[in-house]
Amino acid sequence: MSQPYAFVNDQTRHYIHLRDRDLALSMSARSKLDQLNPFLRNGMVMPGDVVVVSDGPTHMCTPEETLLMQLSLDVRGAMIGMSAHESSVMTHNFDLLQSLMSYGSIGIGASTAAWSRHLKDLEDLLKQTEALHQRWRGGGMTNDKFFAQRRALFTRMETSLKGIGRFGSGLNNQGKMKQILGISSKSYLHTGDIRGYAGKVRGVSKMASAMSKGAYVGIALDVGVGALEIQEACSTGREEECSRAKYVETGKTVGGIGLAWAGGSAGAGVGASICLGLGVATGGVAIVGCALVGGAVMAWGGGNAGSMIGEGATTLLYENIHGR
Amino acid sequence: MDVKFILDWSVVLCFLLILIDAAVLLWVVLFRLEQIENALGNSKINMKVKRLGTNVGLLGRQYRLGIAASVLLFPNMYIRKGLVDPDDVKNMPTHLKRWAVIPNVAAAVLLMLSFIWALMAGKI
Repeated sequence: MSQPYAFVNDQTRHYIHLRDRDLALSMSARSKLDQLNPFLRNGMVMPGDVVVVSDGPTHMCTPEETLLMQLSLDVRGAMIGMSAHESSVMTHNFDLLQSLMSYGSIGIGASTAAWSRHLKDLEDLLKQTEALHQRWRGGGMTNDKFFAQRRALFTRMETSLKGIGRFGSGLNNQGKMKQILGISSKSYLHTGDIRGYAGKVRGVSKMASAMSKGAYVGIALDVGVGALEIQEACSTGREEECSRAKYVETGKTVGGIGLAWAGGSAGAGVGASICLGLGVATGGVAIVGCALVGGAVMAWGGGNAGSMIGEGATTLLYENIHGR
Repeated sequence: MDVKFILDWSVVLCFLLILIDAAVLLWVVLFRLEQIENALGNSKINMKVKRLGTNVGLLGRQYRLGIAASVLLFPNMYIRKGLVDPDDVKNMPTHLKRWAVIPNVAAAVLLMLSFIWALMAGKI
């Protein structure tokens, strides 16, 4: 008995036509196909749907077949609510959409799998920091020890935050979508490649909603870091440093969020204009993607530049109001 | 009044302008976006952007405004590709056009100024 296989359908066609003409299966394999693709039966097979094929006997399903069926069901579920045209665009531009997703996550922090794992790490570190605080509050350790330990935790947090950018760009190389999409309906794929597909389809179809939520996470982190800095300055340093930190950190946070927000809007326009001007895009998905990338890049740049401006301006204000 | 004084306080001014611009953009995105899009009519780009940018929160609306501003700034490019109707752009009410274009252009300029300042101050 051979291994079961699965492939990604690339055009809209009727199930019966696919089974009898495109795949040209034998009579026994036809009933097996019916068994393996219960939710495709007697209907149109949409682009992007995963079709599972096996020539095993019908009286049992191997674990591999069950797994593939589950994956194919996942993909199908992720595409509920997409029109035929949309799913066709998605299937044919999977590479583009996927790379957009990863580029976007650098600037906006879309919730991809890597991102959520990072958030888990961060959450862990934050919990440790909290525990450290509690021990310190309870008088369990001296100030010096406490700050040394917390600095160590913060360094780890910083490095794991840096990792997001790396993961965002690393996503590109993992998928083998090109192979999957390059094939015709008659060439089959091995199980291993399909497994990634189910997860990625979910990711792509959720791109927009993830995009909007990622920004709030970023803003919350920004505000939190600013507040922590103020707290630290106020508990270690003299009063002078405390009020200085209140000015500067507030300015950094407000300036960063403000310019990221303003830059994101301008960036969407700039990205779309550049792509159109260079003739890269002729409308459709490409231009929409250009706008997303432009917005993400300018929001990221705006966040950095804005916090610098905020720092500079508030330092100056502080020095002039309170004297040096 | 020496150069350093002017440079220093221009940063404060820039910071204040950023805050004002961000607030104005928020207001436009919340209260003027629908009017601007209605004025753009059923153009191809408008439909596409609306479909993608609706129901994804504030960022979706921001994204829609960004594209609308780009259409109003460089209408010829979009008209050549058949993405917008020339009449829609021509008949756009001036006050709506200003609401869409000015805050966005200001944001781009401020972002550029910030980068120049950061370069000059040696922060990058």
